[in-house]
Amino acid sequence: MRNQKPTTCIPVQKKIVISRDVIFEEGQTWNWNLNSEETPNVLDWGEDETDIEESDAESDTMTMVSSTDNLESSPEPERQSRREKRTLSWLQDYDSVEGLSEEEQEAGMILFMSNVDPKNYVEAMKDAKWIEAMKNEINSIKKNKTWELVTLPAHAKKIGVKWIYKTKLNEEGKVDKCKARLVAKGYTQTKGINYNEVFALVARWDTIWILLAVTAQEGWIVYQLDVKSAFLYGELKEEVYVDQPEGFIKQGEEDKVY
Amino acid sequence: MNKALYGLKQAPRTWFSIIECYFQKEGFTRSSHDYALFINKREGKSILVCLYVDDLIYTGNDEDLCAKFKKSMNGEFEMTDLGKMRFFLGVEVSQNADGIQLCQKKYAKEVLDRFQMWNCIVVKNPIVPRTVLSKESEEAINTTLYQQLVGSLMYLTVTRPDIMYVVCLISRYMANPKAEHMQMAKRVLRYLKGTVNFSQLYRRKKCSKVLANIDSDNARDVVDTKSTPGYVFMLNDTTIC
Repeated sequence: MRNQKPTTCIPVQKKIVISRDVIFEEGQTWNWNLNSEETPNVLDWGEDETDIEESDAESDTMTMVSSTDNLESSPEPERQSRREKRTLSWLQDYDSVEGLSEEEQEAGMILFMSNVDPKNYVEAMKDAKWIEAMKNEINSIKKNKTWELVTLPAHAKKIGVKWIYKTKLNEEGKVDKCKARLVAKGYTQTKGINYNEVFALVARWDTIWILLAVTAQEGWIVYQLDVKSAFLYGELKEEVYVDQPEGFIKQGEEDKVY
Repeated sequence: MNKALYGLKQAPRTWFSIIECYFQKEGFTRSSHDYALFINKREGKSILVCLYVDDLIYTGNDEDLCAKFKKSMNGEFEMTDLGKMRFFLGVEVSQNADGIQLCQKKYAKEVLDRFQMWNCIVVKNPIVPRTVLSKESEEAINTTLYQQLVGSLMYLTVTRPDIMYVVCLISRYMANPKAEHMQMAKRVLRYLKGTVNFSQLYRRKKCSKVLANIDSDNARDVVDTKSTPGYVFMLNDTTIC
C-alpha cells in the first residue's frame, strides 16, 4: 500500500481513519483467524439483512458507504437478542462510520467519490465532464479520418472497443483535465488475420546517456516534444473492424462496424 | 478502419513507421547504432532526435535549425511543446551552466513508499562486499513482490550506476527468489533511502576523454560456476554505459 494517498484502515477500532500519516507495522501480521467471538468490538449489524443485500449490487465503494448508512438510520433492536451476534462474513473487512460526526462522514464520502474515475460508460455518462471528454476523443478520431462506417464482411471478425477514463493531475496534484480514451480490445486479435508485425523499437538508455553527455560537453540545449494521441496517426496495413463506441452509435445503422 | 486505435496490437508499430517516414522525408538519417536516433547534418549544422514512442528529445548545434524542426513537427502532428528537457520518462533533468544533471529522486521516493521502506535504517553500501549467494537456500517468498521490487530498482539504475551491480545480481533470481535474495533487495532500498538525492552530472567541458574499465570475476557463481564480467564506460568522468 502506498502511503502517498490517503489510507483508510484500522478495522479493529470501530472507526474509519483517513490519514496521510500512516506507520506500517512491518513486523506484525494481521491475525486473520481471529474468531468473531473473540473480537472485542463485534459490530452490531442488527437483523436488518435485507437492506444490506440490496446495496450489495452496487459498486464496492458504494456498498461500503451506503450499507453503513442504512444501519446508522435503522433503529437499534431494543429487545435482547438471544442469537449470537456475528459480523456478516463479507463485512468483516469493513468498518462502520458510527461515531464520526456528520462533517467527518461527508469528508469521507468526498474522498471515496471524487478521486475515483468512472469504470465504464454507464458510470461516466452521469457526469457532463466525461461526456465532454468523450466528445473530444471522438472528434480527434474523426479529424484523423480513422474510420468509415461499413457493413461487416462475412469473413471478417470485429474487435470490441471500450472507454477508459483518467483524470490527469498537474504537478501540484490538482485536477488538470479529464481524459477519455477509446481503446480497442487488442487481446481479441488473432495473429495473421488482423495483425502481423507488432514490434516497435524505442531508444536505448545508452543512446540517451551518450546523447546527453555529448550535449553537455558541447554546451547545447536539449528540447523535448510530446506528440498528442500519437497512436492515432498510425496507418493500418491489415483489415481491422471495430464496434461502434458506446454512446456514439449511429441510429438506424446499429449493425454496422467501423 | 484506416488508422490505428489505442489498444490495437499493431498500434505502436504503425506509429513508428509513420514518424520514421516523416524523418526520412525531412532528410534525417537513421543511426545505424540505434534505430530510434535520427540525425540531420547539413553544412556543419546538425540536429539529433531521439524517439521514445511519443516522447522525443532533440538537440543540435544550431538554434535556428532546432526551431525549424519544431515548427515542421508541429505542422505534421499535433504536439505539446515542453520546451527545455526537464522531465523525461520519469527522470528529472536540469540543464545549467555546469552541464546536464539527471536525477530520479521522485521515482526513488515512490519506490520507497511502495515497498514501505520509509522507516528503515539507512545503510552505507548497497551490498555487503564479498557476499556469496547460493541458489539452494531455504524459505520461499512472494515471487511477484520480489519481481516488482527488482523491476523498480532496475529502472532506478538509469541514473544510479552505483546500484547497477547489485541489481543485476539480484535480478538473476527473479524466477525463484528466496528469503536471502529479498533481504539483499531490501538492503538496496535501505541504501537508497540514505541516497535518494544522488544524481548524475554530465559536465560541460571542452576536452573529451573516454575511459573504459573492464573486469571479470572468474567462476563467481558458486552453483553453476559462471563468471561475472563488468564494464564501465566514462566520458569526462561520468558513466555513459
